[in-house]
Amino acid sequence: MQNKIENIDDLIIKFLSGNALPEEAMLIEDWKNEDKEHLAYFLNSEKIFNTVHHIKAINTTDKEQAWKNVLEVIDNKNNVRKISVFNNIGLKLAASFILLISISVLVYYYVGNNKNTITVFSTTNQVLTKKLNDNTEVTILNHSSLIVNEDFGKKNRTVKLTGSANFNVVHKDELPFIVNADGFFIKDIGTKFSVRSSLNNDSIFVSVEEGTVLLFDSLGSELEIGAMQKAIYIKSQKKIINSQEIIKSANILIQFNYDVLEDVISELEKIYHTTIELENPLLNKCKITSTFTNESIDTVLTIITETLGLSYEKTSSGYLIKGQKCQS
Amino acid sequence: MELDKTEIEKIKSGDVKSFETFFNNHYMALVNYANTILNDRDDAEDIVQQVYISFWEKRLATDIHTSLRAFFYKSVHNACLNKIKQRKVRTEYATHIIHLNANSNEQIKHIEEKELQQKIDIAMTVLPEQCRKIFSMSRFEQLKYQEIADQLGLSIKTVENQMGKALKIFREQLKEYLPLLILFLS
Repeated sequence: MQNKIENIDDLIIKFLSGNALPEEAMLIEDWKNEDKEHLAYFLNSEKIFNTVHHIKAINTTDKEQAWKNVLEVIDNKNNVRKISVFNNIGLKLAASFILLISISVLVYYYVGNNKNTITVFSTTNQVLTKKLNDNTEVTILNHSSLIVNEDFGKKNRTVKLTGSANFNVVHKDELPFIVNADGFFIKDIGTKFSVRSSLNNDSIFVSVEEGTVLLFDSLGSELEIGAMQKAIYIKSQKKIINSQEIIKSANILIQFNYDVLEDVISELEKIYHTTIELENPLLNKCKITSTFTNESIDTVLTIITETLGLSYEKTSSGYLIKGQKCQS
Repeated sequence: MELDKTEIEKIKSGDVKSFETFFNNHYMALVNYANTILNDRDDAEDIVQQVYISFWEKRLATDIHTSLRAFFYKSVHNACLNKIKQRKVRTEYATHIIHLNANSNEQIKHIEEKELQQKIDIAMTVLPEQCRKIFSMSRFEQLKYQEIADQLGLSIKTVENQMGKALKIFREQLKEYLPLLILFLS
């Protein structure tokens, strides 16, 4: 039976312009392959698109060489990228997590195009504790959400987390419990563990209370951590770092990516064990993007305040940032 | 071409031959898909190869409840989006486009580039206003459909329709300049 697709031009250009979802890309592939006329139509559309976009068609893919590349890695016994801590990179882990008390919202979504029922637990300003259908207990922290699909507990035990949560997992060998935190995976091997991340933060922190978890991402980075151990996943670098290794290192890498000053100060206070106050509370919402490597707190504050058109001074308890408003 | 359960089980149990067959059946299509998103063939190949490698390493821990093919398309899609986040896309792509413009006349051997460019410019003016705006945002600003929809306060469906309309109009306007073009009337 031929695929009859309405508005094929819409789908073709959506694919060619890089906007096609995975299922749409598969649909186009199937449609092309089922009929020579379809294939010709697609190739002509592609030619037009490339001409208008001034893109040179490059067909230099060597499939055989590509398979050799893949085979070389999967044949190699050492095909798992080991986690290493480079001497010139480190991150000091924050020692405590703060729970805020507020209002939670419970939301259910039905995804029509996939015909799957998913359950979404979402919080704004309150902590929410739920028991999943496998008796795993999840505590979802504020401004976080957990997505559980209808196959959970039957064909898989994978949940999708945005933000932060604590997990007390009922271990099952035949159905491992896996948390998907934005492309970074935490697999239970009989555990109590917590995951901390935020949307404007480049890091995901995992802390294990009991048992063991396996951490991995789609590019082959992998690390197993046990009870009382912690690790950090840096999203922009696709790197998993064992915090035990980091704490031993004297090196400090701090990255802020369009973060508000309020959060920046909170982070600096934890890392440098000092107090930083703002003379003007309106400055809390100023935003800063910067990276500091092995800098003293004075240097960090100098750079931040100069960037924002502010100033700072030392006080008896720490530091005071002064200024009326941030320069953009 | 969907794999049956036996084939998936074979791959999961470590059958490299079955994995190679799956690789050969879908690698090119996955690279083409990744390339539409990344506009970089080398990156596209790297990413797809990494997805294959990563799947092989994690195959025992991976639960697939759609199909292996769908799983790979989704994995490639996610990996591409991550790659884009890592790059400074607009700056690099603008440079890439400038470089390619210098070579674009290799593609159309018997037509002056200037004449073709004029034809494209005329075709752009034929587009209805909203269609032209949307197409320009996709072409010149390299915006994704969602970004265009957000900026113009439209639905994604409208953006899709307008882009499809643009393709139809360009097909009509440029047909004489593309020697291999075969008109297909749907």
